[in-house]
Amino acid sequence: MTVQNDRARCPVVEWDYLQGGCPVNSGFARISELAEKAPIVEVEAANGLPGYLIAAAGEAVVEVFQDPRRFSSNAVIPIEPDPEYLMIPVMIDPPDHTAWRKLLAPFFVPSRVQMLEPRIRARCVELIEEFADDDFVDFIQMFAAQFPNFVFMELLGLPQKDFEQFMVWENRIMHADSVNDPDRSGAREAMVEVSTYLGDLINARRADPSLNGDDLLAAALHWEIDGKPVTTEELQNLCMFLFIAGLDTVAAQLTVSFHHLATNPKNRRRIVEDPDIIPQAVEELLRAFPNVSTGRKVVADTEVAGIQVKAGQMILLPTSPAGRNYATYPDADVVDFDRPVIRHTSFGAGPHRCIGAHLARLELRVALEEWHRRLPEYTVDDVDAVTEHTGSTFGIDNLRLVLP
Amino acid sequence: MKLTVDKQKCQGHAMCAAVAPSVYPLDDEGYVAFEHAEVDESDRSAATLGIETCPEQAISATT
Repeated sequence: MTVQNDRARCPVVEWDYLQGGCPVNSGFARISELAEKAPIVEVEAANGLPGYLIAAAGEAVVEVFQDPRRFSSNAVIPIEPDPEYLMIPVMIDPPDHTAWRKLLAPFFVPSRVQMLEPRIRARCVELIEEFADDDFVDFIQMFAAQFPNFVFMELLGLPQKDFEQFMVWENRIMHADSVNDPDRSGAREAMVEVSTYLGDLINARRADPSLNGDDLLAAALHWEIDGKPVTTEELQNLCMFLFIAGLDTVAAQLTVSFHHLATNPKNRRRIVEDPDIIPQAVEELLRAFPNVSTGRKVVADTEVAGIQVKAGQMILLPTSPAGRNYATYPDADVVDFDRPVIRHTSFGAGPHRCIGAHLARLELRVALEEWHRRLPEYTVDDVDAVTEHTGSTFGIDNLRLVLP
Repeated sequence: MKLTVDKQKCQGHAMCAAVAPSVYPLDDEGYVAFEHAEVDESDRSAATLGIETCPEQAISATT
């Protein structure tokens, strides 16, 4: 097989992976513009960062997601092609990946997630009642960051007394910026602290089985892969990944959803007057605001969407092209709760599709339900000042809501 | 209408079950419970919605 470096079909573009201070939801528009050029585009090495490809069309994104043999998850951040860290199971390929998913699956299937609903709902209500009588609320600090943190702790059976400590760590890891933590050493330190906490916890649970409840961590202590017990270090990597995976993603989705509802009274009133559409609204908001992007490494020279790609190349996979597909949905950037078919890959596709998808949907649904029961009217304070950051999870930086 | 689920492609998104729960029951692991199914004419549009919603395009139909 001859490999052609066919640059005429793989245009080179400028792209800033970490672009910040952007207008809200402008990141999606920039990705859509890439798709107008070609299904795959190339970003050249620049400013000390390596080059990579971007899958800009929905078909290309799904093709890569669905074929782990050609596209490895051993590296998932396009500008980090040779990572020194291992996040389990997101950075593992089949067949080991399949073994991990089988072990994890029971904790994330729809029927299991439903069992968590009462406690998740109760915590949601507690959070809202903290600020429901105030004139303003810092939506991210007081709600969007706290809610998924609680859910993570429930999943692992972590003691609620440690919640505040996890919030401190969450802030240091997720909200490091060029002012408060310019070299991200604070964020890395916090990750080491979380890992240490998890290691101590795992050891304590092993030493005293009476500490184990009906939670994922208790079960994980006994897991085996290929007949070998999973190690404490593997469990730390796994729990660390679960912490990160479900935190910023859900917080970002909550924030962008409420920003939308705060600035689109018609859609907000629909939810208030007809709460039965909330599951559909959650899905449409996921389609319209697919915040997450990931990456893959090309295993051997091959083609994607007819374009040659080379072994070792990193491919950035935004999740937006499939759902925000202007061929399928000419008004793709409009949030329309009445779409007959809502199809998207906001939770990815293929073997690594987000295992937490059902849990995430539950959180989003409960948040919309409980918030609008108590706070049907709200607006954004200083709407023109709201900005977003990009990177691996697009997110609004700050959202202050005015409560009547 | 005959439905076929490609079990290699089904990844447990459960979107089919969300839009057409009676047509697409799930197993304990969150995947579609069948590989082949015969669907009543009255369920045609629900079944079609499930096919169109699947992110993996794992479901197909004949007649």
